[in-house]
Amino acid sequence: MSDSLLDVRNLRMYFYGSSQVVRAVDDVSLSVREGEVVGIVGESGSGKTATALSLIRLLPPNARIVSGEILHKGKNLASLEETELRKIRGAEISMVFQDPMTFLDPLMKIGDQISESISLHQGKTSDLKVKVVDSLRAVSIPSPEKVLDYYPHQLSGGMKQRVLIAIALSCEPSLIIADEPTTALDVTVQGQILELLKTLVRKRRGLSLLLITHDLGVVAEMCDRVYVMYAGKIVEEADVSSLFKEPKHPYTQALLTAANSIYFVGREMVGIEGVVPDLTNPPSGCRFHPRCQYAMPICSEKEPILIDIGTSRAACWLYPKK
Amino acid sequence: MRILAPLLEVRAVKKYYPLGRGLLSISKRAVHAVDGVSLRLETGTTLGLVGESGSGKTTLGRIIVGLIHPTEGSVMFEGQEIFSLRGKEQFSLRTKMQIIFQNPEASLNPRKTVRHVLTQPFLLHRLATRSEADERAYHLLEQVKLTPPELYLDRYPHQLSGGQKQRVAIARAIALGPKLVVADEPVSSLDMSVKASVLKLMNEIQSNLGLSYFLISHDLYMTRSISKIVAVMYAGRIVELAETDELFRHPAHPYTQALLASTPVPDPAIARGVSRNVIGEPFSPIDPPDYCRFSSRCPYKQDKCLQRSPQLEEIRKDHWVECFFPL
Ligand SMILES: Nc1ncnc2c1ncn2[C@@H]1O[C@H](COP(=O)(O)OP(=O)(O)OP(=O)(O)O)[C@@H](O)[C@H]1O
Ligand SMILES: Nc1ncnc2c1ncn2[C@@H]1O[C@H](COP(=O)(O)OP(=O)(O)OP(=O)(O)O)[C@@H](O)[C@H]1O
Ligand SMILES: [Mg+2]
Ligand SMILES: [Mg+2]
Repeated sequence: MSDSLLDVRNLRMYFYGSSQVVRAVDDVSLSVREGEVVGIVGESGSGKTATALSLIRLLPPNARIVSGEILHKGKNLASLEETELRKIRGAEISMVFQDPMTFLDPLMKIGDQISESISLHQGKTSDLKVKVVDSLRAVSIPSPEKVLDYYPHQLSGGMKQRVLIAIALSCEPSLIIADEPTTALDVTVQGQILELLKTLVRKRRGLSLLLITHDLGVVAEMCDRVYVMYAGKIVEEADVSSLFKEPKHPYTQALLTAANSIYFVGREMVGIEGVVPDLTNPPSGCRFHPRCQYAMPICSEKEPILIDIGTSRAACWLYPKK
Repeated sequence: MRILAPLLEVRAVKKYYPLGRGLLSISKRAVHAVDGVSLRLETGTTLGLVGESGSGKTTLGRIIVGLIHPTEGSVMFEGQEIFSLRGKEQFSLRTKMQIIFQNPEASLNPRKTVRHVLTQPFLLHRLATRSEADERAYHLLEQVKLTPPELYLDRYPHQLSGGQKQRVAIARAIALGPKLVVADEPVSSLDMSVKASVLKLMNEIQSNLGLSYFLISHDLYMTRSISKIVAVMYAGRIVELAETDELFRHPAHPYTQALLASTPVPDPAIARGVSRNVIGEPFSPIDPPDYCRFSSRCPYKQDKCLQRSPQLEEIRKDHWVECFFPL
């Protein structure tokens, strides 16, 4: 895949506890092409954030990348020196978090936070202030000259998220990883942020977006291609229309049925019984088998691997291997 | 017993939270959490209350079950004003109205087992002996599909998943056979796969027990799947009220329309065609303007909207809207 901007191969990232190991990312392969919006969708605890943080190695001390490659423009981020990596983080790849306050400094003015980020990656420039104002304008913040002097707490949740996106954009990255960027926001504000992200991807040629969400609606609206994650693994990969028209993996099918039963009138409500498994001791074989209505003996015995099924890929024993 | 009285009637309820309640404070500024709400709910039906964060939903829900006293207005339950009840009557009202809290963590005491949570209502109201209460608890778990019950009775909240906790909260709420359950965002914190099962359960319980739900949510679509009537709240006021199908087919308030257009629908063919036109930021809830509160975000506002407050008016049969220029 030569046109890949990011190519992740067989990535494993574990959290080490005092007595247990959480296999949060377990043999995940994914790619993002130039200009593409790629989604990772999955329920709480499936390892989405863990995957995102692994990609730029923004990991807590108890986490370790156990194996795999993260290829970006000819470099393997999984083994890159921390100093080298720092140049890539924020400049080539930036991240937008669910809670802006995990990133914004509450005691620092908005303008200063953005200038700091710009000068860190571009060095001191004389037109710094102009650049800062431009970056706020680019994310549709009204009266940016005023907002420069605000502290984070003076902004609403939606505005803070815009500032975060402005910071992420300020260094003209080629990839933005957005982890649930709108989950904490009201729907109308979420709508505004989604519109903003769509416009940015459309306008900035080559900008790619890796969007992490548990909301199939957001996926349907935003993504070109989607990875479905379950219990630390990718269980399906598909372009967005195939995913919604012909979901292959029973988990994807069940998720979609559940979502549809809520969003479209007249459908019988159907959920999935059970819970996302504990990743310290995941089920044997296919990790979805305890909740799967099609489970067969082999499903608890052997782990299925991702195989091509039409234009999609899924890891499920229902599909015969060619 | 007055037969014609609706199960629940909320009359011109207001709740203001004064700022800086210090003795010397001369400031009369206040958060207008609920600012003149009137509603009715009939037996056996569900009213969905939708609105964005901070619009006053939780405050209104808590006023309805008597947990918060309103600044003005009254709440009638089966024809009786609930805040005038005392002693025995007040105690018996508690068996008829229940609330499921927004956050399952907050509604279950982390140090009490499921058995304790579910037997307590019977023991507290002296409706059963301990062994009878145990039996009832067992049956309640069956009703909320936590089976086999013996697997769950002696668990603590931290040993339950989010969906299971919410089922226990529902079991407790229906324990004494209430007529009204106020459910504050009962599924918001749950995963998609679990949401649908909990909603389905709530539907089943309603048809079995004939109770009414006052269902609070910020998700209009989720409300649709379970409500007969939907009320849309914005900045402390009801801005639209109609039967669910009517509201979805003919949303008349610009905010309702914005809500509908903003929610990403899980179908690329629909979701990719959305167009949104809500702009701007909401007013502060502190001393809101005396004109239309949605005007700061409304794409259709006109001069009149910046001069006076609109009032809730019936634009079609049973379809109420608070807007000078309904769509
Ligand atoms: N610092 C940590 N130490 C140990 N385990 C962790 C740590 N952070 C996350 N985990 C565990 O790793 C697993 C994956 O978590 P992750 O945060 O990636 O899930 P997620 O898919 O992002 O879920 P959500 O939708 O709730 O954000 C979970 O089981 C979680 O409990
Ligand atoms: N005890 C209180 N003191 C002061 N202000 C309060 C209090 N409780 C609520 N408020 C304010 O009243 C308004 C309405 O709050 P409420 O919790 O009812 O909103 P909500 O619609 O339930 O929001 P959410 O969707 O976030 O739960 C908010 O501005 C809130 O900050
Ligand atoms: Mg996460
Ligand atoms: Mg609330």
